[in-house]
Amino acid sequence: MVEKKLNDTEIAAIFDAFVESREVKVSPNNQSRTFKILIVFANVYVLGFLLVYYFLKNNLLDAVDSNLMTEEYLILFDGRAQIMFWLLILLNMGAYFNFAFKALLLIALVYLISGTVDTLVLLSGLFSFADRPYFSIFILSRPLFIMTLIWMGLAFKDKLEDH
Amino acid sequence: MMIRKLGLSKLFWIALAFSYFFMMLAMYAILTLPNDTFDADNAEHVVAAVKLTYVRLSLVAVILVSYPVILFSSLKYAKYVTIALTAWAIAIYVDDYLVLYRIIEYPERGLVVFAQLIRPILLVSLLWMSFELTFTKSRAG
Repeated sequence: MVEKKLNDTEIAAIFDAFVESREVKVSPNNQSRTFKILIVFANVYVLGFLLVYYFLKNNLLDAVDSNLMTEEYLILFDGRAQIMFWLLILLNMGAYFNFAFKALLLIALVYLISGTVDTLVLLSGLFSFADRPYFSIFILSRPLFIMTLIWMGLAFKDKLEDH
Repeated sequence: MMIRKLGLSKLFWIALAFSYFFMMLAMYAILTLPNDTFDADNAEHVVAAVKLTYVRLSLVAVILVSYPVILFSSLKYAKYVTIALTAWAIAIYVDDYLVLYRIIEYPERGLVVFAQLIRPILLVSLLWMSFELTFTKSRAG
């Protein structure tokens, strides 16, 4: 009995047949409306707070939190702002190209929770929420942002999963 | 027998053993700090570092107990837990050296210095474990 094997041309033809369906799955348009709203919200949230932070840093807003505007704490907020900015860029790219999005989301989530706990531990007792509006809104809205990221992960359609 | 059944490489178990060694060393080093640790000029920074480490170690204690249970019950969940722990270990390492370096300062005790020295090896071990659990798809998938 002769064993029939596929040649390169035939294998390429089979791959070509699936290219279109893969492109449809990878496309950002394939994501649900919920996911799109959540990712827009996440972008607005992070960029909004980065903007407020840079305004405060450059004295463009009244620095109500004068004790938090010391060099040491500015380095802390600056570091967090830089890391969140790059995580946001990576998340957007991951979502657009549908590549490693969930892994990036997990990293962002872990970093966010760890950073929030660290900040609360280090700054606990040094300030009261009522006296520091910008900082308080930032800390108090964190659970909302964390929930958004978790929801994004659940709503995301991975190209490797069959939907 | 149970270990063989999981089909993971020797390197994985070495990495896991090293991670346990590191976490227990860190716990021992911080929990048995001598009294004169906080007498230094930069006492505030040392207190902040120790306070932060206590919070982190409480999570480490939970991990030490629960990780073997997860690993032997489901490789799939062990994969996600390991990736999350790796991300956390890298996040706090980056935080300590790039963000918190002006606020915290670890005690200059020999054991703490040694733990800081071998900290990158912990990250390598965790990364190896994450990759192995991710790419041994037939078992962890």
